[in-house]
Amino acid sequence: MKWIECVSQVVERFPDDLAVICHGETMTYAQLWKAAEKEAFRLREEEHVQEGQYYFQTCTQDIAFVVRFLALHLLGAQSDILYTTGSTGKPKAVLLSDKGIVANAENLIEAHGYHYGLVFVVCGPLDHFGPWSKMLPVFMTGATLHILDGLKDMEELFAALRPAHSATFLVPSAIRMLLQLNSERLVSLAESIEFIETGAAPMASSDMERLREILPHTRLYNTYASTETGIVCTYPFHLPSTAGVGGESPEPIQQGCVGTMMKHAKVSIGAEGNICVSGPMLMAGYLNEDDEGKWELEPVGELFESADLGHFDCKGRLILIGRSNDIINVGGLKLSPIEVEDAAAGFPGIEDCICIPEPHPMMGQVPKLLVTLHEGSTLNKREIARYLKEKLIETWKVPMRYEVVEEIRKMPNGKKNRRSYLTSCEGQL
Amino acid sequence: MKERIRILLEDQLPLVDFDSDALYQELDSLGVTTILMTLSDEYHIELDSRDATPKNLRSLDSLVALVERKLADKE
Repeated sequence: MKWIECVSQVVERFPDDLAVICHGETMTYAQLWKAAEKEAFRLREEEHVQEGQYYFQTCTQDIAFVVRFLALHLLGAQSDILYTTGSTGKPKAVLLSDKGIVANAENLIEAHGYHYGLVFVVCGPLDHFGPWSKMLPVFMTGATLHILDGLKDMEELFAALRPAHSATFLVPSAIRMLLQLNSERLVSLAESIEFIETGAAPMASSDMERLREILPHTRLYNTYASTETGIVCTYPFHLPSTAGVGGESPEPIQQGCVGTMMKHAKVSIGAEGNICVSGPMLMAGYLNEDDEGKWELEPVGELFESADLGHFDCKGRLILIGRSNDIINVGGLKLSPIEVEDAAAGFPGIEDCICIPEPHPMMGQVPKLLVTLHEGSTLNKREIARYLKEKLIETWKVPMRYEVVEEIRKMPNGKKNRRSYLTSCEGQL
Repeated sequence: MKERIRILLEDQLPLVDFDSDALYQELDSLGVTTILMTLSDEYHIELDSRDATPKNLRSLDSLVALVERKLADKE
């Protein structure tokens, strides 16, 4: 059965129940369905959207985005496309088939227990796989999606999590923000939060421990997933027997320990230690645009070899130990250093530069820019930060730290020697 | 105190214009958290998300007023 057909059954069963909440606006399942049908009609009649066509839409953090998403599926969308960080600095379009969408939804429903009556609070951007993927199980089970626009106003998050049977997905940096500044407030939600899922970046075992203490009745999951692999496996760290890495390590872990394999996922480890994933939740492939603007699918095949490195422990659990590429993980958001370097290269006075990860107490990693300058030039941190914001658009991509150095270390072939700068961040995802 | 806060925060958040009277609008969640934690550490005061109101984070002057209020509460 297609994903939209599953949602249609939910609409028939629970027409008057709340489907979505955002900024005080609400819609029942019947209202959401009606709005999606209306939008589908508009897309077909006014924008001439039809089956077999690629349709790109800008993500907005609101109900309108959810309505358009459903409308496109009502129009017969066979797949969805999400952009992900490419290791070369150019985002890659990842095609997710309807079969994959259903498999991912089923993985989440079964592993985390989505159900009718649950209020799932999504704070992250809906064009990123983590938050986006939560729409799938929510609307398949008759739960309610509560959309927040980021976590700038933590009070909004606390209010959203107050109803009984609430749940959310928070990246480890967001959990750390809550623990650092708001742990007492979190205690007051101990009875209402049914589960919290985290993922996308390493989480310190001390944070896991504190969260478990503060929320003793809440199920806590650390999930291994990506746009390409889909939802692969999850680590239930609310269970005392799974504390830290197998309950043995009191040290902050720089790897996610992920235990239970999802229903629709198989994992193996390649010769180089790369995690290889297969199963119906995998992406269909990358969608590439050629020089003439024509789109072509580069199919993934049966097995996807990720850039994540890992191994199985003696209990058969998958342990993540790092990455085989140079992506910087900024609080769960993936950044190619090349994108930053390309942008910085045009700043007056810069001769050469390299963008490297720097440990950060809240975000895990933040980008730092090392530069060499032309003779007589100086570097003004605020000026270059603002210049990069204009080029990179998104604030989290702009380095927080800058340093003028004598030279950028190179390898014999002339490429930047990124590995030589990674000593302090080694092993971080 | 104002200049000390400016130096501390400009170093942490190079993109933010601390001369703005619409400071809150410029900040994201990391910016808000960074300000609260930096001021909390520097002046040994307790700040949490209830302090992160648009009024308290409107400008550098309002941040100074927040710190002064918290220090006065401590005494």
